[in-house]
Amino acid sequence: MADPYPVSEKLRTTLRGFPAATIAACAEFEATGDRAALDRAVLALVEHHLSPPPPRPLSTYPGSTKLVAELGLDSITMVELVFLFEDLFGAKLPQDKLVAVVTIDDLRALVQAQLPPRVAS
Amino acid sequence: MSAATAGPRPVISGLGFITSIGNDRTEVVASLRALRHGLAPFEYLPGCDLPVKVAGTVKGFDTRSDHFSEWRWPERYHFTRERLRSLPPHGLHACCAVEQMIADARLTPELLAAADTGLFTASAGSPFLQRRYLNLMYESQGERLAPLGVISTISGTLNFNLGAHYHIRGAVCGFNSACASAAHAIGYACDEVRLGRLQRVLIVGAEDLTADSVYSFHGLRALSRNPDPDTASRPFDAARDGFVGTGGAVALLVENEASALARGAPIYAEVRGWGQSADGYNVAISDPEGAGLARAMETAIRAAGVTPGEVDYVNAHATSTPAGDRSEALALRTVFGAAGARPAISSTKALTGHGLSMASVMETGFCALALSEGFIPGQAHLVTPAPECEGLHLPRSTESRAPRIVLKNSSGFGGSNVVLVLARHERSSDAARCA
Repeated sequence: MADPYPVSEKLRTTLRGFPAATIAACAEFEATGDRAALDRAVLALVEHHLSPPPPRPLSTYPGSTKLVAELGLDSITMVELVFLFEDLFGAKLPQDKLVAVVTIDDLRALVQAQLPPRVAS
Repeated sequence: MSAATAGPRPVISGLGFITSIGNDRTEVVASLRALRHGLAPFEYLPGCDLPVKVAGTVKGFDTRSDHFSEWRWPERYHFTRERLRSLPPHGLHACCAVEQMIADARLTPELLAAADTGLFTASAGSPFLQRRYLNLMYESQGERLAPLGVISTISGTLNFNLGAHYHIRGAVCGFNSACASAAHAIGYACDEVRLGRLQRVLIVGAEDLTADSVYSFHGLRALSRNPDPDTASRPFDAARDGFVGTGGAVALLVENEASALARGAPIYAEVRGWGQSADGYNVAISDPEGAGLARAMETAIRAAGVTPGEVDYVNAHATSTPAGDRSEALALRTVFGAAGARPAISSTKALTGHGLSMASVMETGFCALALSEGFIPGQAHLVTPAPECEGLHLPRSTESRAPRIVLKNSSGFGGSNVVLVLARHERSSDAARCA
């Protein structure tokens, strides 16, 4: 079945090597601005960067799950993710706000809060 | 450069190859015996009609992309995203060569992480990936800096990646003397073993085969413009016109003989001694009379406790450039002519192309195979020996005789010369049977 949302060249280039479901979630958010799609995309991007991969989908984890202490995310990977969020969603994630991010919910909330007005509206 | 007879004996007890003439020891031996080259038509800049048309290509891999997610490698190797993300293209090759070497040497994770295991590497880094990341930096006006851009591109990239992955704790060091880099790594590894400071040192050399790493040498007019893969690399031939580039990776283990024997590891050869010198002449051109390389050979032979007459084979540095080969030919005449010795001499770069900082670990690996398998690779592609080669024994075909003492010559930009002396070990034949 074809993806319901078109995948832009920017997405295709930025997400080389990413799972199709991750690309589809990003494409959906790009097309609709839907916050649920953004949540799925953020979680999928984080999940793709975890090593070793989590035993079950990240979407089944509670929002209070700690990114570093429980999921093993390191600081280099966090920078990779920040650049992805900025490139894909236009969200500017300043360092002073990033240091306060501890859990999955913190990250989701920061990305949502930092979306540019055009997308947020 | 320590004495050959005192203290622990360094031996070569593991090998791994990702090269233009084969991706494992068996393929490499077959290519060396048959003088089968690995050169092929190659587009450094696709779509451009460049004057340089041939390279020593690595088969079974595809690392043309500047993003690791698009790389391809043989199924026998397994990589995670986390491991790939900090690698340059030649880092992928290096990981595969090291995996082979670890299996060959029967090294356990515990031995790799032991306090007396070291890692010495040689790589020019990845200007190919560096270009991508620096372009990103400039295009984004400093907003975008690849988090692992430095790790994956500077010349220490093999140290960082392999040292962390295998939890190396004894020593991690990169060597930077251009095309003599890996020979320096092997020489100093031998000293570490002889001094008893390390029991074993992983030696890894690797290079990208890209326009950024190799075609850049056309700026010096150092590359062959001969479009025929069968004749483009012809060291010591009167018609040679430059070197042919290659990439890939080679890994070998330099180890204290006692440690290798205790583990039942194969022993391909003993590294009997080594020597080095510097030309003090030019940034890129060898001393035309070969005086520096001759001194390095003399030092190495003396350090190994042998005589020129005992040397059976010299694996020459000769890259197929007019100036470099001439310099080496004169150096060889100086060292061996005066002693009335005529060892067999060949440059296996005729088969592989020139692997730059990887070259000397690749060719030391070849010498180890020649010693253990009992053959001397001939000088491929030699039709008309250059006049300066008069008196040198350059066999056109592989000789089926077992060498006992072998020299490996290496020279790099800036006039660095390194010569390794390898000797057949009493267990060398067993290593060949294990293949």
